[in-house]
Amino acid sequence: MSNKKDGRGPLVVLEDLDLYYESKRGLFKEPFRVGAAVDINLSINSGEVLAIVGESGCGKTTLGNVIIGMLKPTKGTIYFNGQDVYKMNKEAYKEFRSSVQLVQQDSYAALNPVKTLRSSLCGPILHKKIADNRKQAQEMVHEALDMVGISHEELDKYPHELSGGQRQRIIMARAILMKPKLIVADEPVSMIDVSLRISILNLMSKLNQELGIAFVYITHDFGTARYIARDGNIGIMYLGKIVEYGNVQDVLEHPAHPYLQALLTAVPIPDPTIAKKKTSLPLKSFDMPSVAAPPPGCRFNPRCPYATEICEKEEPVFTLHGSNYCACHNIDEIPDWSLRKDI
Amino acid sequence: MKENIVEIRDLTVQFKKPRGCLKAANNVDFDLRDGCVTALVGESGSGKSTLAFTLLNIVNTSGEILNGEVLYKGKDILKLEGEELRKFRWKDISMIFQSAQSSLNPLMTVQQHFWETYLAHNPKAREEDVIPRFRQLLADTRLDPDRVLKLYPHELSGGMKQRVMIAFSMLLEPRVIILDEPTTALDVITQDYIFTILDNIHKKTNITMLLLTHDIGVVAKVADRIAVMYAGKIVEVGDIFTVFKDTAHPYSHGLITSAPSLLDRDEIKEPITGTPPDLVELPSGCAFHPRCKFATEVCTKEVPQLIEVAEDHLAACHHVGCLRKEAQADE
Repeated sequence: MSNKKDGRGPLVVLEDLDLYYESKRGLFKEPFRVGAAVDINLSINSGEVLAIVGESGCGKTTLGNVIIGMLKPTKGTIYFNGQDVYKMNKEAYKEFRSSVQLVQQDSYAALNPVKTLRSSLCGPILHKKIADNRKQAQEMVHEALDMVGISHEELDKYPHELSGGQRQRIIMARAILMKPKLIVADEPVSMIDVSLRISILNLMSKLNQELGIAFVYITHDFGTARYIARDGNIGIMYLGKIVEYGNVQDVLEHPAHPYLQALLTAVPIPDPTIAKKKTSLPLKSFDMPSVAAPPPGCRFNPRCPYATEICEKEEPVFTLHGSNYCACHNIDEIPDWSLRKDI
Repeated sequence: MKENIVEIRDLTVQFKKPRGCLKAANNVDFDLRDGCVTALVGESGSGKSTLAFTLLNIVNTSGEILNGEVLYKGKDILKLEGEELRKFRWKDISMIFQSAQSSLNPLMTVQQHFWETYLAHNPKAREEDVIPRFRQLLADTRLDPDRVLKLYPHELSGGMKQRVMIAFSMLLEPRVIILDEPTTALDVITQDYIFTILDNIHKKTNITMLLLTHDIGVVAKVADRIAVMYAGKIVEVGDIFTVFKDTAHPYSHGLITSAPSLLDRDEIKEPITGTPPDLVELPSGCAFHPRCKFATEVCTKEVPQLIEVAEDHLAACHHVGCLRKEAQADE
């Protein structure tokens, strides 16, 4: 799926990127710094689906906000179509902001409750001059609604009159009206009824395939990540860092990092015969350290059953191991493990 | 077959809304087997929490029970009043609510929580006599009693709070424990850990558990029996293996097959079409018929009753054989 649309190289590149949240502690003291996303190197191709998976507090939402330009990184560069986002001219920056759209978790909070859907949808395209006049805007909105499967009559309703699933479709419609090249979807289905989740995921696949929009799918749920990314890539985050990255199938079939192995052991499989064969978690401690005070060396070392002396001192480098990129000192000593073999 | 410890018979619970009456439970018959883990599965708004609340007789405040009875060891819980009801709650049936955060009093330490409840049920008890018991309960949930007993809720992480709640719910050695989405706000590793703890408690005490959830993966892992709820009605009940293997109701089938799994090969999953119904204006006949691909005229007219489709496996559908036929045709 990747690079089908153009051969000019990746759409968005994050290079040596750090984002620290700072809180002041008085005039002369050093500010308190929390590294929510550290040492991030990622590239997203046109039309690619990239899944970012991690537990709460691992920095995945922060990373999403950095990608869309809502948070300015403390260090490092973001390239959009080869241009540095924070050095480009005003016109190019505007184009970047409309080409990269965000779909948030809470669809109710993302829509203005006192505006009808018609004005929420027509407003941005008129403002950005994507549509020349109201009539054209109307036509474009109708087209987008057809794409996401919402009937035109719903346009005069207010957000609270729709169900969660419908609202999430409206937000997808609002995003595609900007003719984006990339949509960052931050937990788009976690607040939606289970019976409707698959249909929203199928809609995202459709937008990806028919309109060639690249997706960054941020989630804590491996099942949906695997489902949506198909042959795309996946990145696993732990305490602000990406610990493993690669093709979804390769990463999930042959997880290399001990943290990912532990996570996958804990994911419940919707099949009682498999799920009841309980394997114990290969972890030393079950509580995640605070991201504000990450342990020295490898951030996973206090919980890792394979940790050695070096893990407490040096941060591991992100290197290619088999088919996946992985940041672990003892990668060669860690036994092969796969969910399929385990069950 | 094990005996039923709780039997709900023909229960209807209604909430009055400005738009009309909302029936969160609609002539429900439901049993809990002694010593089993039963999962009650349904989407938000299907009435599963309301049904669970009737077990503690705590619906009265906002809703009204139109008819039916909730029998605990043959005694109708809904008829309990005053002192009798106070003694019954937590001593016989206890509950872990969805958000552990809001279940704990922010101004009390963990020890004060335990002691307050213990004292309410044992007025003659002395605190120093029961502290070892508090410590044991915390140790059972793998918390460090020396530290945790003195902490306030804000000093505990989400997973720890949930473990404190589990320990707290076991305080009076109840026979039944209701778990209302106990892990929804927690991460997978913590979730797995909590279920390991619950499993150990279950093995140790053989307590009856009712787990409310919408996560099919969790159900498959934890439950012995499954009951599927849709629009205030139980649509399918049975042994977990039977229901997963030979699903009889199209809605349960949709729920089970549409859950994305790590072990899937690339395939497009078919979603359940349509949207969950409005409980105030329920569709006529079978409430699921507007979303069901097998629906015929009879489904729009008659409400299907729970009938036995196989041994220990009930389903409420006019076309129970359809899914099996479809599966055979596929092969």
